[in-house]
Amino acid sequence: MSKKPKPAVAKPCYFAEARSYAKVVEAEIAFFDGLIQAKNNIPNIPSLQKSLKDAANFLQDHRGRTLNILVEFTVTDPRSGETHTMMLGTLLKPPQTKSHAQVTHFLCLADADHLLTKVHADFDFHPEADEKKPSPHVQLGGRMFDSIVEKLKNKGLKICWNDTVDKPRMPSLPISTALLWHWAFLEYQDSEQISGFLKNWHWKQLVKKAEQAVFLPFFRDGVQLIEGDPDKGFLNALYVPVPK
Amino acid sequence: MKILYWIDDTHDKGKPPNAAAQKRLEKGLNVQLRVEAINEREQFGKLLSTLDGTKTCGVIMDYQLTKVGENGQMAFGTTWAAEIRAAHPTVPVIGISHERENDIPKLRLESFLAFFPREQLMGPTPPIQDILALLSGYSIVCKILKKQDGKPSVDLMVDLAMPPKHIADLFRAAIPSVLREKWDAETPHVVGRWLWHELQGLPGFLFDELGLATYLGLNGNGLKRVCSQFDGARYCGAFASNQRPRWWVGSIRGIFESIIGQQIAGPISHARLELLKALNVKNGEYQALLSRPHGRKNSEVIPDCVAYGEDEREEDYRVQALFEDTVVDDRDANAAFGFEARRIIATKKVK
Repeated sequence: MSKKPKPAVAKPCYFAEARSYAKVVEAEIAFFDGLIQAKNNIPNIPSLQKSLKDAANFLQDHRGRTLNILVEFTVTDPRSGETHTMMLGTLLKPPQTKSHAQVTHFLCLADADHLLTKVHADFDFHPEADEKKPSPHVQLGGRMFDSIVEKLKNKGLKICWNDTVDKPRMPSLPISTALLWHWAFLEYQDSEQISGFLKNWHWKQLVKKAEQAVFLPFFRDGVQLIEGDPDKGFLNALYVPVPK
Repeated sequence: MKILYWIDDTHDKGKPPNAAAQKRLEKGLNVQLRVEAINEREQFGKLLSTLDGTKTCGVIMDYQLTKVGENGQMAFGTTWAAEIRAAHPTVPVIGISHERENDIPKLRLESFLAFFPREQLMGPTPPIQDILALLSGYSIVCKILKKQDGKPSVDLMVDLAMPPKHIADLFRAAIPSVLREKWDAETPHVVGRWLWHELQGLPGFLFDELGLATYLGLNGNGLKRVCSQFDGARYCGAFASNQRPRWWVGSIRGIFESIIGQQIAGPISHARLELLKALNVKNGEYQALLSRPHGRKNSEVIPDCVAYGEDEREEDYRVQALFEDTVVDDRDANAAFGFEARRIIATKKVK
């Protein structure tokens, strides 16, 4: 009786050694390109227009330039009714001679006096890092980002978390700018600046494309990994760097 | 042979071009230069009515016409330029003045397709290629306007600028709303100004020589050694001038990587030595061809931007600098979509 052949395991693009900056940024480029084409058809937020300009410059040479944007929305907390500023940021930094590639997305909430909370999602591409981390991961609090500091430097807002603690990092779904924004929008569906996006056909198309580009390979690869190489372990596979 | 008018006042006999200057312009531009010295408004009115748009390739006009306005007052060429455009929309009007362009109000400059210092035009090396590019570019836009056949205005702009395919959508998104409407007789002037002053004049889509040199990690001499390799990225659309070369930003990396035979992570300037090596530049010559950051002595750091050396925004005072040593020029803080803010040296920060 012939032995049933083991299914071939395709190289998963969102796990461990197969993860690449170029692959992750591909979805970002498609999103910003689409957003730029739809810019006259989506709700007009001042900081969004500024970010789109930055994105347009980034797209001219996305492998050589850094994109560091921050978009602000005014949102109302559905329970307390308090008004907050929601900042959504993206940092895409290609690898350079002395630094590794960086892909970070974050959400930060602030009121008039405080930076209330921050959650950020990182990919990690450092092949020789001392500390193993899940990639992608999300982290509550953690270090401050330049774009927030720059934005708020004159306001003297108090940070309400310990920004020296980097743990824990929770393995997460891969996040892209489109998916972070959409997730944030879903959290504040009734806020005036948000509802326009959720009803917008162009926005829905962008989210659909982002889900296909980011989630589809993640889940497909995840299933392949669990089925085809169960000894490796799904969570283990998310931790980088991989021992050589 | 087409006629190019030079409209001037009679205030100063030395102002209109002398015979030698006239000959230079006529020969270089292949036109008949007709100098019209105006001493009263009525004379201009007559000229306007006799000017034949089909035989005229353009008008060069003084920005300030002394003692020819109402009651012997100063007349501004800007007003007359608008009158010429209204009467003969196919005729481009180029301004000249002894004043610095920076000292002339922007609104007045906008009446002209482009502006040149009078001395430059009358000097021994007039910007012939630039004027040719302006005249021929304007003529191309007028022809396209005639034959637009219901084609969307945005597509007409793409036809004119011919951006590389991979950035065509980005380019479309950057076209200002006034050029997205249906084109009319005034449009060639607006199109011409956008292609000459915005697309080719501001950083964003195109590099000028210093911008390209900086991007490649080279200085001006370095660029001269390698620039023919980047001809595939040259801007060849309407209003392209050999005296004012431009290169599409989005096409440079691909050419660079094909020359050195590998992909570069991060800024391509970091592989500048590989570029020189691939182009058989001798090792001993490298140092003289590399860019150096302004204001940093003996620094090995590679400049990553171009900045104005002072707050005058004079083209002669631009330098290669480190981003961190510069600040956004306030006047460009709200740069148009697709364009980048110009930068100036933050003198206090330079180490």
